[in-house]
Amino acid sequence: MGPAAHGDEVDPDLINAGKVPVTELPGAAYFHHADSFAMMRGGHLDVCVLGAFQVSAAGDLANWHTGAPDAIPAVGGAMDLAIGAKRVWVMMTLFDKQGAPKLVPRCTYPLTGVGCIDRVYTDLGTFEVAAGRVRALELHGATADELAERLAPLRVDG
Amino acid sequence: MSTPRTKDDIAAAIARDIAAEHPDGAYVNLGIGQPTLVADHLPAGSGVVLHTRTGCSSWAPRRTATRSTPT
Repeated sequence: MGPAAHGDEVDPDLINAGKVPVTELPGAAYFHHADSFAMMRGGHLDVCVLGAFQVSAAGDLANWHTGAPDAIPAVGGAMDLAIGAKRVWVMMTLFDKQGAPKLVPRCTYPLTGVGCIDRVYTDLGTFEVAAGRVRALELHGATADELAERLAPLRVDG
Repeated sequence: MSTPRTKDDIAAAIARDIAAEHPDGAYVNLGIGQPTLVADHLPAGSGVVLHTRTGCSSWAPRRTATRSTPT
């Protein structure tokens, strides 16, 4: 997660959902967990950024369980966010540690949400997912041909 | 842009890309793990309101040695 908080600057009561110590800005507001979920489910968030194990061309998201026997599944509020936010973006590496694509024709892991992802930001490029099609908006450090080969059979429009 | 090398570099580069895309004044939830890095790259004065599921809005990036300690 990067640099740790320092000494007495950490307030253990002021953390985000990842239990990382954070600070307040002027106007900061506190609310009940139930109200927080009402904001999420009620469509009041403009954007949500989530991590992912897999995203499909149809915009399906899998980010809570890989099915690995030693994994501890944790969905948290991801299902509510994936469906509730107006726009849902994913931040992930494009390939897993074994080199398998995480942007796929169909998710093989259990889904968090169906057809909910608009954009996928990765180390090798940014992709728009809409109506079952994947379009590359920007590529970093790889050519379209290289990515097409590694992502096949997924089709990526330029 | 050259390909970043370390895992932290890669995550920071993606976070910068995402932070640049948030509309001014948007209400934004950052999921746990790498997405919270986006908070560290939001431009000052963007008016983006960060929401966390645990029940706080308008939180700011992680505390560092240079930030004030309001408690």
